[in-house]
Amino acid sequence: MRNKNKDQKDEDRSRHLRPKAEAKLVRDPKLPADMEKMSQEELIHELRVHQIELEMQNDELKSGQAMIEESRDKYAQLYDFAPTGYLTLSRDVVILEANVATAMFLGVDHQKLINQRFRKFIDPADIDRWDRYIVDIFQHDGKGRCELALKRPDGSMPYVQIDSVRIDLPAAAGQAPETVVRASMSDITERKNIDELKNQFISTVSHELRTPLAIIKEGVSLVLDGSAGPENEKQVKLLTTVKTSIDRLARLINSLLDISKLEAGRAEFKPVLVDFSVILRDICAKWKIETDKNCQGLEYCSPDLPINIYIDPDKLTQILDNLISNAIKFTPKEGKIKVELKDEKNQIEISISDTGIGIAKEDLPKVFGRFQQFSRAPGAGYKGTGLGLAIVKELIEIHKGEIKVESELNKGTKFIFTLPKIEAEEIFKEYITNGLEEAADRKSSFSLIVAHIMEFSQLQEKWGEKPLYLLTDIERVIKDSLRRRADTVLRSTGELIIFLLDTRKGDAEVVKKRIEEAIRTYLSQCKEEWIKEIRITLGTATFPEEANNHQELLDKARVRGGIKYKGVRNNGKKNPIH
Amino acid sequence: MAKRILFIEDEVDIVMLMQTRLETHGYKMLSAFNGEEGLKMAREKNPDLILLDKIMPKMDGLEVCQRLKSDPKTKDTPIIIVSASGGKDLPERCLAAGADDLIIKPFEAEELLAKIKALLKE
Repeated sequence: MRNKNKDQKDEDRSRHLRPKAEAKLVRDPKLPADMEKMSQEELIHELRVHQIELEMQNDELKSGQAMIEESRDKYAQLYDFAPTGYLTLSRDVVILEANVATAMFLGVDHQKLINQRFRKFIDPADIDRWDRYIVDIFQHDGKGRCELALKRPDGSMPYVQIDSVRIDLPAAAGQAPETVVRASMSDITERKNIDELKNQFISTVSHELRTPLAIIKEGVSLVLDGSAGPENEKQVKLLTTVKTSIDRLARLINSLLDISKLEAGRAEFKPVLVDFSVILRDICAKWKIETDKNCQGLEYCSPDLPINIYIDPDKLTQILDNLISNAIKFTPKEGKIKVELKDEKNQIEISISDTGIGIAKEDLPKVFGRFQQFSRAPGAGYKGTGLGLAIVKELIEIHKGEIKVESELNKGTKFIFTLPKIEAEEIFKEYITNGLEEAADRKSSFSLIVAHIMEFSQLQEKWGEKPLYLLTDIERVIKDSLRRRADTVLRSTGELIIFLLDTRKGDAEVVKKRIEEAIRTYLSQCKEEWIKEIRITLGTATFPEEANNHQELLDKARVRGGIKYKGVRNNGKKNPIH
Repeated sequence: MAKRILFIEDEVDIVMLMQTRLETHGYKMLSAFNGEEGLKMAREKNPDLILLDKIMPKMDGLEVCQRLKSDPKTKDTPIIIVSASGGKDLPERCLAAGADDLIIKPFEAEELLAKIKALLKE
């Protein structure tokens, strides 16, 4: 079939060439000079020789062509039917070309892949991560790896690992040069399943370990404190050692649970707006007691201005406690520990440095690994679990930050980590999207209430810090008027958003009324003059009745906010804001 | 008169140890080894406080808690949930079930005693 096609093509080509050759002959009808003297026989002989020569050349060309085609087919097959997915993505992340394996991974017909946006094949939970990754490849890194869950039309969700390289294609004539990303994709579903199994195993085992541990601990404590009769000094000493080890084992179990949760992506990330310098100052004050006891110095440096960023305070406390206690542990008496906070444009940087024993150069790459302990603190006392820094790294990464370490043996160690300043809108989006997903899964409703203080920045210009304090007060008033713990309040500058899970429209209205009343009561008790300048709007919207996606829900709740507090009193006159 | 604390827990060993602990601190301890027995005892003996294990066969601690809190006879008795698992949203779920406090195993005896004292308003 294929050969027949090819012969047909050759014939077509010669038929197409013939008129051209004839035209050429008409233009130059003269025979070469020596040919004029030849006899007819000689001429015919000469022509036949030429003809045979041409035929032979033609055959050679044909077989050359066949070889080229064969090798092209071979490479095309290698590309198309490779067990790894290959694809090329354009600048706007549209699939320009893809092989059969890619189509199989995505669960879509190969023909239908081209010109599709790649992100539509990704599990919604991973889309943000993908967007960040691909933007990085195009704009910064040029190459990188990422693990994603895909979502096939049939509902199955394989895990793939994607490796990408950015390539600048040479410009075609008259066109701007094009930049594309070539990516390979391999299946890691099995590995992910095993990881999941391992994490479940750790989690189950850890829970099972806790009960007998509680019994051992309580038994030893009872003997130690004399509840089981008098004991001698030697017994107390032995049992104290036992108790220290029990506590260490309990810490180890907690750390194992922490890390398995973090690795499985099951750790909750609940960012709220806080003044980071206050958190850091409080933590340093707490550790100052310890360093004073050890005759160590603890210095704390931060800018004077408040640094309001979205973080998960519990997780940040865990990170800082870990890094500072490490510094204390590995720093000798009279040594110094310094905690420094820098406010940069898009992120904050926190460093914890000490004048301690340091880490050897060859050990530095292993610092954030699991069960890595290089220089144990000498003597008895608090022993680590070898998981602390691995947990710290994971905790920082869920904040989308980074951590690094610098150290010199016998001089000291410095841990530096950054936390990006996440925009309020992004945090709102995350909370709302989670709420929507949960509501969709459980076929229930999800409502938002938005309280907005109008012209907040002007108020700040005029009254300094006062409006911010008022906002936190109002946040507290709102929290007090909510009756369920699961309801969350988030604050940005000038706005408070209340997330009501499992709440239908009518119920949200009731909650809104209650909040409105609480704010009004609170403000009427404020005697300060400037309060009269405050105007607050309160609006609500509910999924799925009124909106389908996070933006729609947020916009509706915002736009609907009639002014509920204006100066001293306003009788519910509606003034929608836009 | 000594305050009476009911401990509902399926692990016999920990019940025994807690008995020693609570008695040295002047409490009287009652014990039940599963949820149903616990519910029955709570209704009959009317203890001053209930310690309730979360994970038990047959009836889960949170369910026992909910039933105790919806029974007019026992609804005012403070309940402390004792749990071996941290778990997602555990504090929220305990509060939702009506519990007054929560402690994670293995716990410090001092911490538990402090929680008991606080709830008994001693």
